[in-house]
Amino acid sequence: MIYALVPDELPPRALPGVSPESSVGDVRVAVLEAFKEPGDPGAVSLSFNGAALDNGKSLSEYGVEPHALVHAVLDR
Amino acid sequence: MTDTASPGFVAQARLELMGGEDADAIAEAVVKSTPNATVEVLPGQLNISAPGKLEFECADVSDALGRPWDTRELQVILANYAGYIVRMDEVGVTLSWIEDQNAQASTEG
Amino acid sequence: MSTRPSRVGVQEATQQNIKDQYKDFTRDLGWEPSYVPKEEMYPPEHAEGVHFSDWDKFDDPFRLFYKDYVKVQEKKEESLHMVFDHAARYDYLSRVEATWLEGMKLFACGQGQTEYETCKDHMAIARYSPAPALRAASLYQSIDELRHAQNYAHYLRYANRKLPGFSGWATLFQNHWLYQGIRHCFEDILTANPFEAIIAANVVLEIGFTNLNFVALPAVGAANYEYAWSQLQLTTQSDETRHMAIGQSMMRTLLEEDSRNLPIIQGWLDKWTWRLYRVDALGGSIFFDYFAKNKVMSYKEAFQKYFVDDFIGGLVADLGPYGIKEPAYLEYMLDDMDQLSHVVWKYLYQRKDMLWFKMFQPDDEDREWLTEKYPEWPQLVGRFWDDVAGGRDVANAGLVPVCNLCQVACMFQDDQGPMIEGPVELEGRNYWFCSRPCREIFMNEPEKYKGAKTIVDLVLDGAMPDDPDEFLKQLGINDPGLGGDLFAPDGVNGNNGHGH
Repeated sequence: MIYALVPDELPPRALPGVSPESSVGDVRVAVLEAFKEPGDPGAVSLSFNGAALDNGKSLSEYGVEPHALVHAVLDR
Repeated sequence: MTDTASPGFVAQARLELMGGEDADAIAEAVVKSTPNATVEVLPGQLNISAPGKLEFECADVSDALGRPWDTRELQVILANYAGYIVRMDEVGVTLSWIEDQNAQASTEG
Repeated sequence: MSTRPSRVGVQEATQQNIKDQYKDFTRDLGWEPSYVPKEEMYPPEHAEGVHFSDWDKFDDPFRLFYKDYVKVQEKKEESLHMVFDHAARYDYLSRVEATWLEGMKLFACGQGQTEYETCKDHMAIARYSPAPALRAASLYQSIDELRHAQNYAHYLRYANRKLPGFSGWATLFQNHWLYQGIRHCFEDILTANPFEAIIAANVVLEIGFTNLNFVALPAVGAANYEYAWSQLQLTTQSDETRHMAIGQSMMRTLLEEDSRNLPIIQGWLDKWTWRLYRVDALGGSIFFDYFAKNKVMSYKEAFQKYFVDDFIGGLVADLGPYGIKEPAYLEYMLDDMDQLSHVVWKYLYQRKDMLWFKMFQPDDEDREWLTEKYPEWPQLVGRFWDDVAGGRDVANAGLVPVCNLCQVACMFQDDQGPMIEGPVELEGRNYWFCSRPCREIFMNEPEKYKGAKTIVDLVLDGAMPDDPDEFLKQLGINDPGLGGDLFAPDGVNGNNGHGH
């Protein structure tokens, strides 16, 4: 399972349906859904192991494995 | 690290009793034998503490209650204690952290 | 004039002190085996590497003869059941603070089971203990634990006659995620060998943590007009005094006997203070700070006094000369004191619809007290509760990472940030941990822990129902109306808080 951690909430939340093959764009949408946030996926910043995740790539290209913790910041 | 790890820290010997007549009598008896003991009242409870060691005589509890009393009755209302039970017999009770250590030192010496 | 013939031993017997009398009734009744090897009577593997030669050194200060044991226990039972009778006759339950009653649904549904299982643990200790003085004491302890288990069942029956939320206790304890922490921890104790079990149960649990939940907490219960449960806790703890004495004596004699025992004992202290912290301190904390409408002391104050000063202070001051140090993970617990209850309460409030008891928001009076006791409370969770009061939907029924050791969700942070560790790979499987202590304890005994599944593992395996109502039933909740906010719909405590 891949989980997302935001700065002001613990524990992290699961991103069901997200896998290393998922695109970064899909992950942004999944994060909004998991945190029940309305708004623009573009306002979600993602990073993994310190590296920012850019659109157009898949999670696996950043070394994300099937079990992982991704960091997210929601621009409210 | 806590204060408890500093040298010279003396832990409290404590009796935690279910409140009532018996507890009040025990408190009286403890204060008589252990002048530096303090008594704390909580809902339904009485805590009697002293640094390092506290003790009391069964005879003093009986006097305060107005009837014979022994340490089996203590067990009914003793919710908790802190320290080692160095003495608990028909004469009295001694709860201590320090005294036991001294006893230890003398057997090793 | 005839005189009584003198009988050999009469004078001896009447002048015998209680210690020697007790020896007649216990250790002298045993004998040295010669038809079977001693190792068959007392298998050495039960000692788990502990070094001991002279078992006579082990002493029990209570020295109870069976006839006195039954008399004392009878008095305790009379006293307790009189309180239950009065409570039922005069309807005490209708006077208990409503918020505290919700807490009782959580506490009471999970208490009796561990007592019941621990009963047989002490039978095993009595059977396999090479220390004669420990046998009688352990047997009494096993009867005590049965007493506790049955008295908790009494409380459940008593409360269940009047209130919802108690009847699902058996399934809840087996399956609900909130009880998996206590269940995992006790299965660990129950499968440890006798010496480790005594350090875990008689020392760490029964001296360290039960103080919080069986002495300090009843005072809080009484302040919230729950006298039956409070008396139950205190009378249970009165048996604990004998158990504590076994634990103290055991630890002291093991350390005196052989210095090779020091790292073994220290290791057990380190492991069990952490494991039991994650169960008992975590569970108890929300009762001091939240379930109690009428506050007596904060969790932080109780933990400082009963655990840090009394237990740790006493332990280190007393056994420090033998080399015992403060438990390895104590620093985490000290850092946690300011936030534990608040983090847990927030977590549970977000899942209130998955519980069999109701949660509620702190009102203005609560907030004032909380801020006074915990000056960082507004910074920590203030905004969250403002959002809730403002109508924001904070519910989260989704999956979260659960610690593969303690079975608690990874909700903890320290001043470095989130304490979650993982994923950690072991033999092709990935594990999550709520903190470094849990990870280290797991990795010290991976064979013991690696096979178990958390509730998240069960969900991902497809072993839990997809339908939310069926899921709740599987957890033990047949009526989803049991959970939610106590002061719904507006979440504000508009009444005097009494009764149902």
